[in-house]
Amino acid sequence: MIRRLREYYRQFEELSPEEISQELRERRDAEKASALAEVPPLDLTTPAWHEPPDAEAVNAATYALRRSVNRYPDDTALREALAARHGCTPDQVAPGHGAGELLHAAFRAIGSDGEVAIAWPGWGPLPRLVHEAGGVPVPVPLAGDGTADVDALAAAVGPETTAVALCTPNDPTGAAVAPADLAALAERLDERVWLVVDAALAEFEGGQTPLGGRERVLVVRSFSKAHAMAGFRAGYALANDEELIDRLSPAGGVSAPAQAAMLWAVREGEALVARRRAAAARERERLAAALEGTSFSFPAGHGHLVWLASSEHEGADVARHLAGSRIYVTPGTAWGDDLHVRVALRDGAATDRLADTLREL
Amino acid sequence: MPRNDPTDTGGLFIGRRPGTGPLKYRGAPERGGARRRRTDGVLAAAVLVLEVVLCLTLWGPQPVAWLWVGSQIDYHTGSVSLGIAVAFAGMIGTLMLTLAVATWLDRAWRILRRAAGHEQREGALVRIFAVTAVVAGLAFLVWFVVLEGPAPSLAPR
Repeated sequence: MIRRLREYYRQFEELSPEEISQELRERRDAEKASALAEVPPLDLTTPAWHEPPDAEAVNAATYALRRSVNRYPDDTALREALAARHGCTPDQVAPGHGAGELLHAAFRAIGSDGEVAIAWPGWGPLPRLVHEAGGVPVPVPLAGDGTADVDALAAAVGPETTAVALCTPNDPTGAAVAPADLAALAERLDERVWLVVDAALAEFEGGQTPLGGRERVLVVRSFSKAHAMAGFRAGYALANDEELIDRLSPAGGVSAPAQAAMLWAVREGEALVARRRAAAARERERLAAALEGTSFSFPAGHGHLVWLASSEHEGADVARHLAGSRIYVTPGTAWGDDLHVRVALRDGAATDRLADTLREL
Repeated sequence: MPRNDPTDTGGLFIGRRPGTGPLKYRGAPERGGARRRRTDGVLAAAVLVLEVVLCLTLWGPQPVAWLWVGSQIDYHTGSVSLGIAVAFAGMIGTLMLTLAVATWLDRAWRILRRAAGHEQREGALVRIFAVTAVVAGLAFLVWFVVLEGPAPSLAPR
């Protein structure tokens, strides 16, 4: 009886501070142990660069934000800097809210009443942008090396075709069309047909994607990839057609912080871009070497995007296997392709983890 | 009720103040029925009264008792110093003993209050000790100044 009473009342005794501290320490140790044992997720789906931009680019944007955000931005300096970089005049440059928005505007301007031949697989949203503009996207398969097939693109041009669009280096393959082939394609196209070049990954190739002398060529560049400034939504278009440049330019221009960051990147960012270019090339080589002798392969190219295929497994199976190890890639089904996955490479540790997991399949 | 919500503290997260955390038991206590909780409540009140009485003895009965013991020693040994020393040591000794018993009772009171259904964080001993000291002091002043008067009782009025 007394024992039962004692047990009943003992349950209302509070823990001493020492006992509470001990319990908290044990819980902390358990959490630490589980955190160490946990495999962190590895997201290789986003084509944006995995590191932040140079702090100076952010400083430039912050300075612009604090100094003159009450005024409408003036993009004269940016246009001049971009024109100097590409050897054209400022009125051939249209800074915009990222390459995607510029392409969207471009297809509304030039592809709204006809077909647009698109080298495919290419940048994923291209067909949708053409469709939204009122045009009809016509996919043209890539060449065997993952580049846009310039002969097939030229052959795909029909009476209804208003534009031919391709990515170089190509997203998702990373393969680039040789400048001579691009120039040849521009020459072969009918006068009325636009050549739209999505050169968002061009910094990884190192080329300047010159306009040439042809009238109907539009080149779209981005600061989202090699400049690591996807969050700024910054890009620009180059064209010999001033009317098109006017139509592509956003009403009121690009925001002052984005302009400041772009200007810094054009003037000062080349060394950093060169380092990222080298890093991407290094990771491509590392992955190729690690997968040698396996069923996996990918086209040679530039940049951090790899179009990976297996001779034994479908893309969806590869993506599922990787997801089981918390590595996430984009299945090729996003491009209507069952055999590939797109991998956005990061650093050496990520590449090694990816290769190790792929070899387990 | 202490506030530690940043929306209540001007955006500052001040953390939990000491002593405001929930009581932590070894397990989830299983309280008895309403009757048992009522009984525990009555028991807790009885223990509280006991604590009060015990503390009150510190300020009157115990010193008086030890002074009497001291006087007896003085009478039997003829040594005033010994009588004072014994009375003083006895007072300190029973003070310690009383506080130990009161502490034990206070712990029992906390447990009984929790068993009765209250979130009883702290005991009542400190407050009882202070209140009984004040009450005893006031009572002494009333006796000394009003009832007995400032002059010695043997002195002619």
